[in-house]
Amino acid sequence: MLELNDISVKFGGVLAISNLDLVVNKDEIVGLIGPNGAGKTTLFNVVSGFIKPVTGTAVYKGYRLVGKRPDQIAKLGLTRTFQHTVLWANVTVLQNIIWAHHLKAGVSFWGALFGTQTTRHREKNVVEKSMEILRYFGLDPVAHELAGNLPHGQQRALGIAIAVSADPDLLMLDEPATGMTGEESARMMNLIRKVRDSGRTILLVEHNMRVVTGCCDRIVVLNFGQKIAEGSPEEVSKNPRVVEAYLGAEEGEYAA
Amino acid sequence: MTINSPCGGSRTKRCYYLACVLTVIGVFFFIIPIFVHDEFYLNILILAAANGVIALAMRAIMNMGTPSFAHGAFVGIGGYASGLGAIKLGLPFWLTAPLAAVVAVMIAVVLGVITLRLRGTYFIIITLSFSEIIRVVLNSTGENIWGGAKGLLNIPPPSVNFFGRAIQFSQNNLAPYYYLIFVILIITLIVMYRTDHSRIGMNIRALRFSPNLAQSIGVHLMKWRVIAFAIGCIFAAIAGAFYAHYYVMVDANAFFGVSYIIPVIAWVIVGGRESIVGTLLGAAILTILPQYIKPLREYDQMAFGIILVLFGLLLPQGLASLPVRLSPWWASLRRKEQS
Repeated sequence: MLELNDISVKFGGVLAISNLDLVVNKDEIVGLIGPNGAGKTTLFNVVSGFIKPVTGTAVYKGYRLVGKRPDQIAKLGLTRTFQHTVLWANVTVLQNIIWAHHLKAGVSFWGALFGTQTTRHREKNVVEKSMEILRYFGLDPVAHELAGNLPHGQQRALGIAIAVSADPDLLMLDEPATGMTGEESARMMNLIRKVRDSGRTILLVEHNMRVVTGCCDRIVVLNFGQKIAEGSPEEVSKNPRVVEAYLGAEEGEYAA
Repeated sequence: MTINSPCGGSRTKRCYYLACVLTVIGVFFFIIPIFVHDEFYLNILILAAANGVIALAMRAIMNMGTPSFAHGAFVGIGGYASGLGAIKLGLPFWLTAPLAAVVAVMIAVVLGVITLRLRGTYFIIITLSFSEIIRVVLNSTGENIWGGAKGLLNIPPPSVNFFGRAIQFSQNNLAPYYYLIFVILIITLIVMYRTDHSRIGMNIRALRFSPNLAQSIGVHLMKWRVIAFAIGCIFAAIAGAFYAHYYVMVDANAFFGVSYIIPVIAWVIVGGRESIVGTLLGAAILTILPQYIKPLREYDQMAFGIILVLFGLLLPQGLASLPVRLSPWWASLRRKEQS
């Protein structure tokens, strides 16, 4: 579904990602892990169009992604969440989803300006669909709260709900369980699996190893911008290079 | 809870009250010239309405993020375009005003595509420079075309035939001007309301609050910023066209530069940038008050600067947020009375 070939990214003189290849298949949950600064978020920014790579190609459903704007990529059915909680904090939760939904609502500029019958009809549909999505994510009780007032766990869930509202086929989650308690992260894991089971492929970056091993089908490990390992959670956690990257050389026996 | 519209609230009931209130307000302002014959008062109301249009246009741009310091330039461009259309081509006002809008939108799109990649201070600097360039060009060239430093003079007042009767627009009879700006203001309000409560406004606000998130779900950053900027510039130009035919002249020095922009920003901030009605009230209050309070008129630059700072610190959402701000205080006061 998503195929990255020989991607390299440079920030000034620093090579943030070098010659990375990555394949994400349909209906998979792929985990991207690695120490801080390994280039995971950079990779997300490349795929979603916020950063242009120096070399390499990214192909999604047959479309070349490099050179496309973020909004064009979103319209191809590839959306993402952000590492720091990013949402429209000063409007309601429902409004957040409505805004996200408008991408698919298909209201024309002139229709919107003059408030034509079809536009009104569609806008009404959007509200209903948005409530449906909130129910799906268990956010319907707080639909009319300001998004900025939600607790952290619900804000993260809302972030994913916004990305899902744009109806993606491939969803990229940047540290969905960051800063969560055990209970919250378990709920997040269920949510991620549920989203996958609704027919969406997921690529996620995560530091919380319980979440990664708990819900990923395949794990890719990055270190200093290079792929050092790939495989099932068990394979990867036994891989000496991964252990070295996380814990340093010689102390391989402490692998988690 | 019934949710019928994306703006929330039950639509029919709210629409009913809104329609009643709007009709009363509309009729009130419609009959004013019948009872008020003092040109002084009519002039103040006309200025308040015209400035209201300019403030609403500025608000449309500020919804996108930063105020445009070329806003006055677009008022001026509208004035010049409309004035030249009337003098050189002999067009009537109902054609020169759209002409002003078309000229403004063309310049706005070009300027927007160049400048809207920049944000914050950079956008302000570029728009201010643009405004100064236009001012210098208008002042130092085109002596025979647009009057150079003298300004464009002898612009004919609008002429309207109302069922075969020619309506006199003149400084001794301001009522026709009053109705003209009344109509322009209503059109502006309708367009602003529709943009706010539709996908257009949503996209623009989504981009302001979080450009990255908006882009990541498919909002085209440049397209919607340019649209917001163009909507603002169109109405600035139409207000400028009205001013040109009202004062029967345009002067390049009147609208261009920072000294014109500070009051415009003050109108929006004092009224409340989130609210259409608030913005209109802000413009009206700050246009009417200086007519009665002399120091505000004489030291207007300083006064508007102080007002801007005070509102920025104490009431950043403007007068429109006053009811919400005061409601807890009001509730506690009533509780005390009861006990």
